[in-house]
Amino acid sequence: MNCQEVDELSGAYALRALPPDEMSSVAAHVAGCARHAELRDLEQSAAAMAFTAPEIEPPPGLRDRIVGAVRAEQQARSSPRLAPEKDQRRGFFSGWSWPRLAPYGFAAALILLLSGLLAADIATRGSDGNNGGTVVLDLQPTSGDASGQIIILEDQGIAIVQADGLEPLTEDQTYQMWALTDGEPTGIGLFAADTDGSASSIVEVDLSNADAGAVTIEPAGGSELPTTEPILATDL
Amino acid sequence: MPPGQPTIIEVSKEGTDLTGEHGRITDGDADDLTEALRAGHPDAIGALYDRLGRQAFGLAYRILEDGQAAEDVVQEAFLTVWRRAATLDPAKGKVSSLLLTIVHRRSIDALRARKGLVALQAGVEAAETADDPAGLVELSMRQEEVREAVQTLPPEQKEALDLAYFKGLTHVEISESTGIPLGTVKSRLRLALQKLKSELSGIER
Repeated sequence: MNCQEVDELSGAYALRALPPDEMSSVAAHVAGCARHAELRDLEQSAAAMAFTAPEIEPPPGLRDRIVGAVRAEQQARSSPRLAPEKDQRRGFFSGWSWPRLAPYGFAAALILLLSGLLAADIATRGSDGNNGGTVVLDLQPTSGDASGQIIILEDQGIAIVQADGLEPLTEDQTYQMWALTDGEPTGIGLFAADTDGSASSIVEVDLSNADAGAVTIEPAGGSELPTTEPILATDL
Repeated sequence: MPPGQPTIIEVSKEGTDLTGEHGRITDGDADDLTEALRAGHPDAIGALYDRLGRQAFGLAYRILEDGQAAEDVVQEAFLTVWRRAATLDPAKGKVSSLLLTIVHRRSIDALRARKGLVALQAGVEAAETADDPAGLVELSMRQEEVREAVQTLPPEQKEALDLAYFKGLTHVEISESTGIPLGTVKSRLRLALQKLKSELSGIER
């Protein structure tokens, strides 16, 4: 792509109104060419468009949920109790292979996997502890490089799922979270990963009766029951 | 600030002046807010919400026209800002512009996903960094002034701008949906932003 082509596309680029391939081409050109100072001005104008949307009072409770989630994340970051449990659980997980369970069907296999987890880690539940109504649990990788945590705010009846190292998905895929209650997996939400492979999502579901949680990759829109192996899981 | 009043974001142009009052967040000092977020101050996200929650929700709702979907986007955007705050460079970009940029892009992605259109975020990786100076909005401009500046655009330019910004359409999709030649769409988008910049520069303080 040459400078003239970039200039022609500058408005669309500043508005992110280009398909991904053209977006990347313009970005690559601009990164190595000093002749497109105008782009910054156009991007500022595009960003200012946010203020042309009328302000609307958000739903009540949203502020509390956000602040609560942030406090919980902060608490999780500073919690020193997680390290030994993490190691212990990784050891437990390393003995499992999801494909071995595939003949049972993924939903059944999820139940088996997570029930086993619950039995194995039940003794550590007490030490996960209740820290001012907040429970922090590590989400352990069952395959791949992802890692994460689930932070349950018991007082507010919500949980925050956060993860890193997530692989990029195609357009027709989504990450889906599951809770296992009395042997039944229930989809509790979908989320997308950021471009850096991180994600965070708030789950407004009461997990007090759930036994385990997991994350799988599902077709866009989510599935009724898990159709793939979990990439992350924990007991609750 | 009385309820119902538009939130006015003031960005200090003199730079950060914390003077030891770490985390003491006052209206009119977005640099302090950025610094407090960087430091992981627990009240900072609430202060950011008080300033921009209405604008963020309004923006997401304008795009998605669905309260629950808008709420989801806004929640995720605030959490993302919190998680990225430690990497923000106050000298380069403001946390408020980052927040609204994330709200906009995630809203557009959600809208396009709902319509079965290809996501646009994948290609913007290089341009979407937390401290991208290009993303810095002159937030000292009052919202009303931005709205007035947009109203000065010729109708055909404003239409193209709205289709791109609020409907999340690419230049090709705008051309296809309006029947306007692609080259004309490209130039209208560029001219619209140039004129907007010129209008806003005239009232910058």
